[in-house]
Amino acid sequence: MAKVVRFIRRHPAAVVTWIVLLVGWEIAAHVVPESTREGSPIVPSWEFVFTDSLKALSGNWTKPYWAPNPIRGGEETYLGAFLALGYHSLATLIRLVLGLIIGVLAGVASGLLVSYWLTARRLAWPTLNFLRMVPLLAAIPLFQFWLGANARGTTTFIAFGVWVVLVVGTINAVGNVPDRYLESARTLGASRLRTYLRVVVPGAMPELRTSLLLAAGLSWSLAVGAEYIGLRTGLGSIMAVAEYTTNTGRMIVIAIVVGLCALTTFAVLDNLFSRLVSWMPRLDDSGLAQVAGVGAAGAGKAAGTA
Amino acid sequence: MASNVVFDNVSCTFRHRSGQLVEALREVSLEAPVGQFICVVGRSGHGKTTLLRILAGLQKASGGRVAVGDRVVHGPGSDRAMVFQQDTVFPWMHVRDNVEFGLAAQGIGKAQRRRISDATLRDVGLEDFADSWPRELSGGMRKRVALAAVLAVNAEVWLMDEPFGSLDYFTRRQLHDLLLEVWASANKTVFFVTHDIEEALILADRVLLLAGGRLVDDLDVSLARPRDEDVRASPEAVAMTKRILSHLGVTGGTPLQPLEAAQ
Amino acid sequence: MTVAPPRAGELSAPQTRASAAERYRLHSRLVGFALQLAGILIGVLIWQLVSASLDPHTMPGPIETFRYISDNLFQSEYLEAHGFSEGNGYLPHLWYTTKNVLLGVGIGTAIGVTVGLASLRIKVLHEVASSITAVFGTAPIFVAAPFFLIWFGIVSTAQIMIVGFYTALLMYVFARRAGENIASSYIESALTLGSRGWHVFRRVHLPASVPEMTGGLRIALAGAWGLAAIAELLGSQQGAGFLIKFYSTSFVVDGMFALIILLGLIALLVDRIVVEVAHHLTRWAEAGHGVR
Repeated sequence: MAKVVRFIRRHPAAVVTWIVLLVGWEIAAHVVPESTREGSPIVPSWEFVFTDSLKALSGNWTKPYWAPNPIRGGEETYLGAFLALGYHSLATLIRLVLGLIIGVLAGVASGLLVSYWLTARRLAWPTLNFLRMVPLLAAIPLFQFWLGANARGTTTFIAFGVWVVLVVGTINAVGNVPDRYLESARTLGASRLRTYLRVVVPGAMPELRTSLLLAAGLSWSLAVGAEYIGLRTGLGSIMAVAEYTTNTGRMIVIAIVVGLCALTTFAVLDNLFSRLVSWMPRLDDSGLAQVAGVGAAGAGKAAGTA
Repeated sequence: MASNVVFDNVSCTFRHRSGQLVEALREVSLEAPVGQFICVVGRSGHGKTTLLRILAGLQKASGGRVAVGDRVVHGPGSDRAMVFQQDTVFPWMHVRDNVEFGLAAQGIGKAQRRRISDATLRDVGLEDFADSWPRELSGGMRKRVALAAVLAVNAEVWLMDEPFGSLDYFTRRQLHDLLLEVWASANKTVFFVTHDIEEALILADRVLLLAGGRLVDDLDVSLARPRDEDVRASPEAVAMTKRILSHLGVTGGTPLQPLEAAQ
Repeated sequence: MTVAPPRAGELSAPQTRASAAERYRLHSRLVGFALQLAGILIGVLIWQLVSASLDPHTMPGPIETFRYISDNLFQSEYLEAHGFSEGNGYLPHLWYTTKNVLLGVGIGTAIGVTVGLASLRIKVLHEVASSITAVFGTAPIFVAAPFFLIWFGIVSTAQIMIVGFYTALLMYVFARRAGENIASSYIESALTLGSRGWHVFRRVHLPASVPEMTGGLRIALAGAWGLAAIAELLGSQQGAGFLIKFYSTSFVVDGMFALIILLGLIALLVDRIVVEVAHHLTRWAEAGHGVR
């Protein structure tokens, strides 16, 4: 409780803003006329959202255990609703996380490979840059045609989108490693490969954070978007049906769930990335000294035999 | 002589990030007449920059007051223009626009601005570079631009915070000559912060010594101008140097004799 | 007032080295240009290989796509045959999408940059704005699209609103960061020369933050195309997204593919224009600063 009070005291304007927004929403809910479809409001009030709409989601839990099935005449329950939400969130998350992991690994690996040779980098750039500019959200129908509107297809789609972001990001990051680090390592006697692995790659890593977060945001858009258009499980699919029936209450519930899940994935990703970067040799004097150690040993040997 | 700048019992205390209380200035009082060239000398962190920034209005005194003319200082203004140690010539403006910057801020018309900037650029020797980008100029030339900007607004007091610190020795000497020339004809009060004693003796009419935030000495540098090598090798000059050094806690000073710090 | 003439050597440019440096620059630019061209050709070649190795009618190759685009850009028999009005090709639809994207990004940038830079001075503004960006910035903005479509009945308005909202959030963060990174000595120097308020904002904060803000603008644009297209996919009767959806219902891969390639090209073009304009605005910058 004390923590909450401290937060409010430190950020009064933020708290006030949100109170105003939420209250304003509630006022709008009562002022804006209801739509003609199914008596569902254009701006649903908070009470409606957290009771009727939330409960109604239990209709999406179609397994015959743990909670009554509303479609077969059972009652709507909160338990059913949470089970339904959990099930579909998991469905979305699995595709998303898998796509992210594959895309990141493939992107960084291919980016590092291409960046090793300057000519290769410059040759690959026009194509990769163009791929990056193609709005993938617009291409969802096409990819569903190619890969199928199912879990595997969606995962591949996400992986592809993430791959594009990470390849371009890695190439940029490698290009931004200050020249003086490379020159320093080479004059200390390190071979080209060793310089690349021990100096360039660690030096490029921190800059990848931006690409990573970009990819995470993109993967959520792609995942929800793909489900929206062609799939039957996952949060996006529920949202799609809700929009079609102008069930704004349900749309809000899903929006909140998506937001929370996305926040979680970003936090986890950031955490993992920080751990990875701290484990890597740092690109400063100590990092260069490691490389220097090898160079000096080589030079010492040469001097010894002279 | 009428006093131009007055420091009346000025103190500046603030809380450091670590929580410690830092007394940057302690009860500093001084009066400076119009047209005097004052060098503020001291070790790093002993208050010289704080004194200058309070006079500039960039920092607030926690006690006492500062006045220029009859006006108490409340904030920055073009009557106390400043040349910084960092390169503050705006790289996104041509040299001329940099010089006219303060004038434009006051809403002065284009034709008049042009006249003033023409004259000022001639004074600092940059009339051929009015339409250049700052990045095309050397560091020393950019300092001239900064000086020209201060000249253009016709400030009553010129504030200089180790302005030539980042330049090489020869450029610095050239700029000393230029500064003294324009100062001689403009007859303005100058507060010049430096830790370089040679620089202080070349430039100043008066040297203020700060140690631990306190004004510990106030020297009248009545040496003949120009302060060439002979003048600065005179017994009077050497005595002044030693006096300044003693305040800064430096007694000995050859490679064979270790330096001792005062308490 | 007389001043000694400037010392020679300090002020004269090194004339003798200019021509050699110019020749080197020209040479490296030619090489760069050649490599770019080669890179494009390689890309097209890979495209052809992939297209040929897949089942027929899965992915059209470069030549097919080019022919399809030129057949349908200005006037499309296929579209006319399916009930579209005469003379209706891709162009008006592409323009519809482009116009909405540019409007949305423009409005969003204006709002985001102004609030972002102003928030550096007005602390309350930062508190209010960051409480919004912290929440909405993390959630995939796509989720708001259906809401906007319901609330703003007209699709183009909804598109502009959502693209604008997304851009404003992004540019707020970027503008603020760019403003924070301006060396304080620049601002203090401006203050001691008598500049205040709007004058220092216009002549110091804005120009100094252009390089960093350009990065944000490009990211905003990249996302905006997708957002606008999918809004059309969901509910519009016009625009590139709508055409893609229309083609997808009849599985006309050629059409879908052609439109996506076109969208990509337009996005590339706009991005290039942004970079060139930013380059011009930062032509004062030394190497390493400014826009790459």
